[in-house]
Amino acid sequence: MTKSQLNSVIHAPNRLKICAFLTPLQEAEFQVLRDELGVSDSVLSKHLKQLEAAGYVAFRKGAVSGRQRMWAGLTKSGRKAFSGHVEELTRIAGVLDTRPTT
Amino acid sequence: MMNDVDNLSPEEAKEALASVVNMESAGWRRAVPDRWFGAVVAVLIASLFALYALEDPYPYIVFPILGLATFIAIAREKSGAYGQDFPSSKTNVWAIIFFAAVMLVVFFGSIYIRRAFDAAWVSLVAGLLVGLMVFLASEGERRAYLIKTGQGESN
Repeated sequence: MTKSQLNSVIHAPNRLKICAFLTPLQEAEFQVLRDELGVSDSVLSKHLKQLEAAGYVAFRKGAVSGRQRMWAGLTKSGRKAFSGHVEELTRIAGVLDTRPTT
Repeated sequence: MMNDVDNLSPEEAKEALASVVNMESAGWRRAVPDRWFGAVVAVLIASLFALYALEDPYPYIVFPILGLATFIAIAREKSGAYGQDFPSSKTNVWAIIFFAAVMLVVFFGSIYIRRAFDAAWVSLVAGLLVGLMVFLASEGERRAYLIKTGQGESN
């Protein structure tokens, strides 16, 4: 076991997945995020609100064909925090980070 | 995956990293622009250049500009997800600056030649050239996205 500098907000599995999915993107629609994560609306809302409270995610409301849609995207501090978290995971795992850059 | 931030084993970290890689790949797949998107943008930009073949293009140039802005806004809203507006790597930023500089040179160069020699065909050729450049650039971007999702070699 290793004492780490991991980010406790990002570390929860679903929040880690949300941040990872949003990393290559500018924004993603709520329904797209829900489908990719395979979680319910309420679970996704809960995690997004926690990320928003930490300043890692920002929301935007938009309309498509008259229907209201919510979009979420990582903020600059969210990208920085996620990057730091992944660096720490990489250090703990003792592997090289071979992910494509954005 | 465990949720104990202070006591994470290398195996748990590897598991978390695997989930990161999977979700990032899913994000890259969502960010891949459609081929028709690049084609429509190329045609609209080409038409902006080609309009200068007319004696008085100014009443019409608003149409491709408005069309481009409207098309991009609608395509984004319908996509469900889209890639980053500004690239984070310096190489990509320089590539965009170079591309924009070439476009400006072709734009003002073609207008100058068209007026100096009354050669309307220059604007049409400039439109064709720029349209081709934009389409090839969008195809290049598409390929780069596909490589990041691990589908690049098969497409």
